[in-house]
Amino acid sequence: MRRGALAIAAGVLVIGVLAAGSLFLAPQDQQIVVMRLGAPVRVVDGGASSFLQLKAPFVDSLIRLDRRSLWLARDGFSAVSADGRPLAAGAIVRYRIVDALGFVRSVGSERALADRLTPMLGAAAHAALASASYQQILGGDRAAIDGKALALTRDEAQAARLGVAIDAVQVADIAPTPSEGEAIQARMAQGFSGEADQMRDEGKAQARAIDAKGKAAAAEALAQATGQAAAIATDQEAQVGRIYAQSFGADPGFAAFWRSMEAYRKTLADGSAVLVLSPDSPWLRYLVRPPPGR
Amino acid sequence: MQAPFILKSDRGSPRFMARNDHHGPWGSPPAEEPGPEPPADKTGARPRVPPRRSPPSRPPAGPTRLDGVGRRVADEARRLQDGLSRWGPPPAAIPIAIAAALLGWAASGVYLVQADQAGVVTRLGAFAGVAGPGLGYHLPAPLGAVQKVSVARANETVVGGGDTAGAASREVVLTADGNLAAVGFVVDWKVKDPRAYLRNVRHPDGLVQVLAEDAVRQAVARVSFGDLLVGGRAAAEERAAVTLQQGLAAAGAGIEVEAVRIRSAGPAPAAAPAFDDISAAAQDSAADRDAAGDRSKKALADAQSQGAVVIAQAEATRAQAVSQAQAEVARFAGALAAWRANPDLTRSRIYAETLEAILAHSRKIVVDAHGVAITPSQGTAPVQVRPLPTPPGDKAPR
Repeated sequence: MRRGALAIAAGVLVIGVLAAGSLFLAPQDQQIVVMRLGAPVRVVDGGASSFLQLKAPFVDSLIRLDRRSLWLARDGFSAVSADGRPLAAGAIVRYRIVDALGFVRSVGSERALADRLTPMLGAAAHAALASASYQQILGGDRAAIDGKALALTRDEAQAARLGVAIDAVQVADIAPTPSEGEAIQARMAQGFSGEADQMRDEGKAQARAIDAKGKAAAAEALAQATGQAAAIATDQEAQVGRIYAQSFGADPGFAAFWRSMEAYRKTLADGSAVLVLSPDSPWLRYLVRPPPGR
Repeated sequence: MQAPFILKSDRGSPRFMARNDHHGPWGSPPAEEPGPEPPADKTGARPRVPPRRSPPSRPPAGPTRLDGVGRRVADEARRLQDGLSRWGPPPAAIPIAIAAALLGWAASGVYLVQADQAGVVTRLGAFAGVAGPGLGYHLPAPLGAVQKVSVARANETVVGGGDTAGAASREVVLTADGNLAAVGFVVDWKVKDPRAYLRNVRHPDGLVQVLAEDAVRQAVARVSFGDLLVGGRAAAEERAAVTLQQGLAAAGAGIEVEAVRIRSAGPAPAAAPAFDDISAAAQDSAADRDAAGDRSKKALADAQSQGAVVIAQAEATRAQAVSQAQAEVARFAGALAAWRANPDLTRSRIYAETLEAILAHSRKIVVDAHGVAITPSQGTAPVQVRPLPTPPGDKAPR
């Protein structure tokens, strides 16, 4: 029994190995190139045949290629616009592998395809951009430029028999060249600095104006107060005059005498004056000559 | 799932062994096998089988067959197998194992699509349909498959960093007025057609990013730098979204662009410090103005307080003068009353009082008729003498 079971097992194993080596599925998004001893012999298109596929075990190998749209973005191309301005540019290409056998024969892998496509894209972008002005490239509709780049890339790819269909080429990443970019940034920085300087100057000028206005307001306030003080002084004179007039007017003769006496007292009684008296003066009359006795 | 069944049946039913060997689970059982067994099985089965078990029967069920064979063989087998014999599967286990394996395989076709997902089902590699949320079933494992795609949730593609990223990581793009702006933006997008999303373009997420970068570049190229910073950003976003949607639609990517949001926009890195200096300058300028305002206010306040002092002084002076005048007038009134009562006496009294007050505090030199000092004052040379002022009103008080 053991031997029989083993034989069965061996048989099943062999069948399994053979099945695994000879059956395969082609998913709908793939196309499979069957290689016999390294040479492509046929293509199984996943979009057309969705059943189990057969191949010769061991001698046939498979290369699975995508049926979907593939894309590639490259930049760092240099270009010149029709009006002579240098540019940096990139390109995005969308393609499909339509001739799987041709693809495997001519390039073999997607990486190799990318290496082949990149210079084509660079040349196409350069040529397409050379047909448009800087303004058109930058701000205009790019459909015409893209169309031109597509046509050029298509021709090149077809001539090289890459086995791919170029569906779209889009010129992208338009930018100034590095040196021009630096110049632009330097100019911008200068502009910004100027703006900042102007802003600071304006601030200072405004501050000066505010200062001047403040000083004027202060001077005006002080002048007003001084004027008010002067008015008060005038009023003071008037009041004092009125007071004196009312009072002294009652007897001008006596007022004059009294006022003079007051003035003498104020001006001469401070001890600073040296008084020279004549013995003949009425004040010393009695000092010199006492009045006669009665 | 299948591993335990294989484990049990491996000894009694070599068919399964061979079959499962193809599937390759031999690596997993050792943990459960007694130590030397699993590797010894392939090699050990060989010496065990030769003892002339071969001719008769292919059918399974080892134990029943053993009953009918000679004792010597049984002993030999028992001796060889020894402890291993209890690993022989009971007869019912084999069909159960087969059934379970088939069931497990069939169960691999069950799938669950989450509420925000769609499942793209394939049968033998061909598109079979899009399944909505819930449980579903496709052909078992290698024959059928489902790919789940999030359709309800918006995806975010971030370019040039978010809000926090530095200017260095942003996209540097030309503006309509020939300046260079550094822009960071986000694309919100949804899978609109799961089948197209999976089947039409390879790596659609990357395509979104690549196309979005150029779309934003084109859109920004149509607004001025100033507008990009303030006011014109929404228009650029709108335009970029439209361009991006067109590009994705042309590729048939099955993606719907919800929005392009420019999250940060400023000058290119080399110009950024100077740009930042503008706001610093605005601050400086405002600070200058504020300082001047403060100075002005202070100057005005000083002047006002000074003015108040001047006014107060004037008022005080006036009050003093008035009260002085009033006091003087009051004394005058008193003197006048006295004078009216007795003019001569009052006049001479006032005169005497005045001279007294004057002479009490002054140095005096009395000079005789010849101009010689009678009372020489110390250190005073003889001086020219002028007559004393005569009291007003008359020649001399009497």
